[in-house]
Amino acid sequence: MTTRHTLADLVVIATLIGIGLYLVVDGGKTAGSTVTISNSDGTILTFSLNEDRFVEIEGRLGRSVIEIADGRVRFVESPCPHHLCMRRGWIHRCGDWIACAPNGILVSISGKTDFDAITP
Amino acid sequence: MRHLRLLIPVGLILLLLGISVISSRRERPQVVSDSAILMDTIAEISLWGKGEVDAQAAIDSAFNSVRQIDSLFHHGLVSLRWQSLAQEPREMRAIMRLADSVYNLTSGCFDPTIGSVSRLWQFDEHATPPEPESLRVALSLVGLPKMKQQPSKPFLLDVRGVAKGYAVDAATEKLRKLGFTSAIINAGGDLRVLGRRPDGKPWRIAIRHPRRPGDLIGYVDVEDCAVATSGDYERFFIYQGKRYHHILDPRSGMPARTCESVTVMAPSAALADALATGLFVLGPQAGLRLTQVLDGVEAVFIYAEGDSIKLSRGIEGRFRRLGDD
Repeated sequence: MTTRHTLADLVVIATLIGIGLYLVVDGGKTAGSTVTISNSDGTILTFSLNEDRFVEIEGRLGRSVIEIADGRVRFVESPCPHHLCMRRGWIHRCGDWIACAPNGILVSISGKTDFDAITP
Repeated sequence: MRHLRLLIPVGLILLLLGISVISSRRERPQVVSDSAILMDTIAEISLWGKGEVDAQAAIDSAFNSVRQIDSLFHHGLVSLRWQSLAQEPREMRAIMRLADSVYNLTSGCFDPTIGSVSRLWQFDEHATPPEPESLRVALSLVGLPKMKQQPSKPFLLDVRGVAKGYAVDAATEKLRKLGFTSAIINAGGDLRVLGRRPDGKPWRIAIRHPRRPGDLIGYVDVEDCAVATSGDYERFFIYQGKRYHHILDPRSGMPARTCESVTVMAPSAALADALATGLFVLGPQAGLRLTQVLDGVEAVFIYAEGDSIKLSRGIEGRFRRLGDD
């Protein structure tokens, strides 16, 4: 016995496969990495890690400047006495962070990560 | 052409798989996180699940526990006479009991009376080591046994790290009492994990490479414990080609040279912090021997530019070294 396949059959099959593939692939994706910069006053700024920019934020001692470039982020300027935050250099991993405790500024990268925390 | 009909069940399976992926993502327990400037650092709490109060209220309550302890230590170094310890707040007495214990365990490699030496060292980029004579005079004021033998003499204590750990422990206990079973509390690297992850797996804590900024050297899988790291890359300066860092040997007043980083897992953050310092000064060989006799304490020692890693026995199956990125 032979069966005839109509155009409707093909559309149904293609639709099912298409939707299923889309959900499996795209449904598992998470958003791109995000840089969050916050101060002790409750200001919270968020940016994509993939968009280069300089960010200024006021802290307890004065202005900190944070640079986002080439998928990395760092402190370039901060009014703290020892500049430990600046000397930390670039970070790029989700879950990683740099804090300028004297100025009350926290810079962190969020997104898909294999780790729940990173030691200092 | 009849094979085309087989594609219908394939499509249906893919559709069901996709729906389950979407559903599982939405069913992932929500995390509530907050941070605050406390104990001269940034304290962060991430909380999952439900307790007796809502998560933000629980976090606020936990931060208040930290603030109470912060108020006792926010001036940094503390001048104290042994004879007046009994009149001190209970937090200070608890911290000194623990410090006394770790002093004995590490044969003086951790010493809370190091304050006179600590204050000679600065770690900005252009710092230099203290003059040898200043160091010699300061060292004469260091030594927990001396403090006990001269009970009316004030000694300068540096217990900031242990105090931070103690505060993290207080915050953790507050969350536990409020019925939460899954949380991470982190204050400038004094870390405490409550229970396991919401999915039942252990928490995965990555350890920094001590010589490659931004890179990770490995990770440990842990549950319901504290994790503290002492690293010579955290606060340091380079002078005449040599690294001078903040983890001082109380016996010499100089930076300890045995390791580059030590990560300690222990039942409390206060103990983990004190031991991370003490084991760093002790070094990998003696440090590992000590971990073998301490219940619930494990350690990861890293040295030789990150090329050498020594693990205590109990962590061997739970540590993994990461490849080069």
